[in-house]
Amino acid sequence: MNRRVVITGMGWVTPLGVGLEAAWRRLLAGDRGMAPTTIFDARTYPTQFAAEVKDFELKSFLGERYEDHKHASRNTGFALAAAEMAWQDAGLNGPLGVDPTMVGVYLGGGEGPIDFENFVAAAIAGWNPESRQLDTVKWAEVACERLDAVREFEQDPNRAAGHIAYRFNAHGPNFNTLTACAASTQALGEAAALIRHGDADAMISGGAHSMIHPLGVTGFNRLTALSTRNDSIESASRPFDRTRDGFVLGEGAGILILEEYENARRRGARIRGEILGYGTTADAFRVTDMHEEGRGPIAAMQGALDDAHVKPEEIDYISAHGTGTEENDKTESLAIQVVFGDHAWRVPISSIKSMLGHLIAGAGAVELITCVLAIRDGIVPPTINYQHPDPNCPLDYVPNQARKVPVRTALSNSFGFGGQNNTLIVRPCE
Amino acid sequence: MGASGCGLIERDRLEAAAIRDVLGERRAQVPVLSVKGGLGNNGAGSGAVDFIAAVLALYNTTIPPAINSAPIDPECGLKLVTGGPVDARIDVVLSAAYALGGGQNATLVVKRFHE
Repeated sequence: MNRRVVITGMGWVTPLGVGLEAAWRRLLAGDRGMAPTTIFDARTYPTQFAAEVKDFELKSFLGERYEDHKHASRNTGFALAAAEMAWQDAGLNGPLGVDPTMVGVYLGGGEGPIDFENFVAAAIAGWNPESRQLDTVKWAEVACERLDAVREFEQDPNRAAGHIAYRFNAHGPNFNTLTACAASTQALGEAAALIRHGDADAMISGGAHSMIHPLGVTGFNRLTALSTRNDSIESASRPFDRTRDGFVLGEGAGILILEEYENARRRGARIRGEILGYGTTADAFRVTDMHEEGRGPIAAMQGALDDAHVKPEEIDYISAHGTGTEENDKTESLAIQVVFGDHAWRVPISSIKSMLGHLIAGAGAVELITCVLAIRDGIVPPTINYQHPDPNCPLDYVPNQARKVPVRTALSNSFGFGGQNNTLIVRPCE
Repeated sequence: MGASGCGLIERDRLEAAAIRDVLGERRAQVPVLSVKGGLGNNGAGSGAVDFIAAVLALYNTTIPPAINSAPIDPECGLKLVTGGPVDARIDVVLSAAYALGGGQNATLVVKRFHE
């Protein structure tokens, strides 16, 4: 079976706001979501800023249903809110008109924030300053008293998919993939495959993540993956610019409603686009590094083009993974040149991570939504903070200004730390 | 029938009821396999480990016992293999894995291979 898969609803929660159109306008205006970190006191970190979601209140999205989801962790809350928006956007005020066991959820997500304060309080109680060792017996005494069962439970990465299934009565396949920065692009590709092959008629898919917590920032700072431009926060994320020094951590969610084409048409849905192709590969290389010739990204993009039966010249816009790390931007630029040949020099490429920061597991879904909106409006968002060309990144990154250009077919890349590479191709439904 | 059998009172009873439902009239005859009593719950890995146990039971025509589970909870009401291994010519095994949180449920069916 090879059924067509269309996008009928989209919603997002981003550092530039939550409404689909409002955040889109800010992206086109080259606005940015970076500010000093407020979620926790980050003043002693090498990186003291992030792109946080501001003024988020789950209750305002869920209304009376909030009671059922009030313990959701921050990332799960983002996912629920984005799903609620996507569900409304798809015109689904009631049921979907298909068997609930044929409606599934496929997310790319990660851990929720741990109960850091109580975790540390237990560690302090168990710390023996003389032996300089942690007495795990004492640690456990305090931990079992202070750590909240529900909060611990809600931080596991599969919770968002469970909450969404509950909220939307989705009894079908229920997945969460954990492939880091590639996760939500992979989730959307796999969700589309379930519909294509007849294992589901509709999927609620995308991703959500917040790694703006002490362990997340510590980890990325230790890996030297984050920008440390504390003195120029707003221009810290500089994808493809020669002076780039790492990504800026963002947070949020992007959720899309995917439906089988005939069913969507039957119910009179507004079809926002069609998922035409999906490529998924592994670098099969050292997990700390990208393969220097970009073999994984090349194969992912090629795989998506083959899957879509689309020639490289037909791609009108590339939403780059474009994290702003030295390695990613160089390797991605190289891979695009290998796959696209001469067309690589003509196709506009941009990274909205310059404005939103890196939503990690949520990034790919937000970027796919951007592609759909770029197709709709005939305008592509810019890569902001681009001032210094890099000979290793010689392509057209739509510097600093959004550009009006007709886009029929768009390609979106997401590459994970660990070597997972995923590419999606979207087009208006014709 | 390979049970998920995590050892929580309510969950085991719910699973047992579901198994009885699916087996219908054969509920008293079909032996039930559960390995978490011996191996513990391997979390995300437990589905694969339990499935390997199911394949080995099928391949070796021997069902390992659910240790520590005798006497079985009368409310579970299954033909759980307890005490010692049981030789049985089994051709098809269903192996189940249910997530403790999130509500994800997955089952696999494995059948004796014939050329």
